[in-house]
Amino acid sequence: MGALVILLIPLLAAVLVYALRRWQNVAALIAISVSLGLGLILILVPVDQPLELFGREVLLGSGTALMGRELVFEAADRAALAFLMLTGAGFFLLSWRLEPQSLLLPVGSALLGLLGGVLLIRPLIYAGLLLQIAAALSLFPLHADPKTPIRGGLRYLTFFTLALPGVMVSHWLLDMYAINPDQTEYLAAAAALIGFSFALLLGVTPFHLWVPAVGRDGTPLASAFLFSAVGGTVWFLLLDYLQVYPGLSESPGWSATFTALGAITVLVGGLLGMTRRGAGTLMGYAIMVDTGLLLLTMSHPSRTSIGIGVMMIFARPWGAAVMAGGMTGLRARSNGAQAPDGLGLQAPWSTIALGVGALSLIGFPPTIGFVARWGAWRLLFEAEPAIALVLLLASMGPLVGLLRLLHQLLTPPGKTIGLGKQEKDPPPPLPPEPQVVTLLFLLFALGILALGLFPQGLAALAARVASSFAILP
Amino acid sequence: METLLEIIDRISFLASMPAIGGLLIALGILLLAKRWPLQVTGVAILYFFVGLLHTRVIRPEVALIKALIGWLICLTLYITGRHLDERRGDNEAAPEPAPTRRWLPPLADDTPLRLIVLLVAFVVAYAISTYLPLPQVAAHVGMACYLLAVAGLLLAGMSEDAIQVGMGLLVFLAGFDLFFGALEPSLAVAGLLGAAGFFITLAVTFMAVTHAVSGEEG
Repeated sequence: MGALVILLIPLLAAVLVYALRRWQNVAALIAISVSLGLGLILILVPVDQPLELFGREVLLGSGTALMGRELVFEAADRAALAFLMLTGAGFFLLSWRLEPQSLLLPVGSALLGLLGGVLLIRPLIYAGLLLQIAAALSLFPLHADPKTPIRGGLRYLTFFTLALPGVMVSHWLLDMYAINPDQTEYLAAAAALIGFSFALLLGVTPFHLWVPAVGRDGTPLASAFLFSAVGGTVWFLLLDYLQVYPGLSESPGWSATFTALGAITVLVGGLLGMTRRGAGTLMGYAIMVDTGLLLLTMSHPSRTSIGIGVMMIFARPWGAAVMAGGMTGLRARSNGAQAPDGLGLQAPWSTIALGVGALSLIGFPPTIGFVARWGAWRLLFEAEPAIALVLLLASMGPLVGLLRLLHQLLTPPGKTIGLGKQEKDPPPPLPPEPQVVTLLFLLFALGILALGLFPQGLAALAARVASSFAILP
Repeated sequence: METLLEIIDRISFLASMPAIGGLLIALGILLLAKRWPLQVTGVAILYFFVGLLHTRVIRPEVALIKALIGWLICLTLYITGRHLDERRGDNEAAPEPAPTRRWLPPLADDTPLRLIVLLVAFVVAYAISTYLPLPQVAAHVGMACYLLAVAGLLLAGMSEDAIQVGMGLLVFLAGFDLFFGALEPSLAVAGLLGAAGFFITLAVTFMAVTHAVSGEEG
């Protein structure tokens, strides 16, 4: 019953938030308080003791049946659900002040319920279907702005749709393998299909085309929410697969494939990240590097590597949200243009947010992103020092891209002299950024730095989550 | 008075190679037609033949529900198409009718290429179904699954228009649904796959409408 309540509350909140969207503050308050409240309950309240809710006793940590299907609520799911809800609360808080008209509040709440279902429902074929519905639903906030192109969203939807058959058919193949354990071709086919599907879902090279496209074309906060919440859910789903079907990670070629794909994704994301194609595209490439590094870390599943991987998943929303917040602030002042020259001088707090968020996403010290990656690089340097050095250098590509972007933002616009035309006047000064927005940026940026300097709590949580995934000793 | 199930039983003789022919015709309409009403008709015909093929795999009642979901998707696409046409009609003067043969509806500008694409989809589907037959389904059903999947992929990949890409993804999903119905014939899976198709339709129609607004403004 408890698991069902946790999934239903955000879905009901989504309906309420949509109905009350004219009263932006009320709608935002509901969305933020529901997701924050659920996140805190999942962390603080002991889920194995009954709670009194509307006069009925509810055991949060209990699984339940839904239309004959099982909702499983285990220790790892609790942390993953808390991560989802708190990520949602952070994004809703930023959206409240930066994009109050956005569909992120109602649709994001519904997505939290659906993604929670992805994590809890068994058999896992239903997780694939719920993920597909969530992907389609996430296009609403992603392309609510009629001025932006829709190519990114269409690519995203296409790749997620192509991933669905693999996720679902592999379940049947693994069931057949369980009945006939001597027929290893079932396991091989299932491993190949799952690998292919998750490569599509995670945006692993050569299926990465949707990642920078979503960053470029989507509204910044919705794109970052998608990279963080949907991306995090896909990673936890992969861990669920490895836990439910332990034979997968032992199948021949699994580890080598993870390593090769991870290294290629880091290289491609890093090299393309050096180019100056706008902040959204830069976010996409930084996410690609993060994904590649996660794959490399998890190529040899162990408690340590999974702990580091979970830490990276926890760290990603911080960088993505703050960077997207900065991008939204800048976009609001640039009249639709990506990043005109000198805009950063007129919107300093948005520029600082963009910079701090991007540094965390890139893994630059002393941010939370750096702490998460430190463990990953240590593991890689122990195993393959030469390759790890090349990858480390490549992964700095988005940093070059960020410096180029910041240079553009902070350079005053030059006086354009056309053929026979007079010099253009400098653009009129813009009003200062709203104080609440500044305060939010400051709060989130300080959070990134504080967690980077004192990561013990988050690291301990990640280690606890990793220990609850019984994949390998 | 015949019941629906009796009607399905009477036309179920079509649910073999004739259905594949029907799918080819539907895909031909979808690929070659220029105007959306014909394309939506193509999708509706496609869902009819997919529903017929479903009767070979799952219970006829469930097959009927799947076909109904498909036609509901067509209705959504039709309403969106009408809405977009009305908007364009409000903003633009009626375009001059292109000189064309009377017996042919207006065809896509790149019709020869699209004909080749249809042919390629058929050949690829035939080749794969011969060398890599799908488990748990009859040969002609496997061939239909591959044909829908390949044609859907090509359709989605050939355009950057939201509705066109959406139709391609729906065709792809219809092919997968036909196959997966044999592996997992549960009602919950059928319902969720139908819901996934419906949400894809809603998402692409939403994008088509918002994009049309930006087009008008630009």
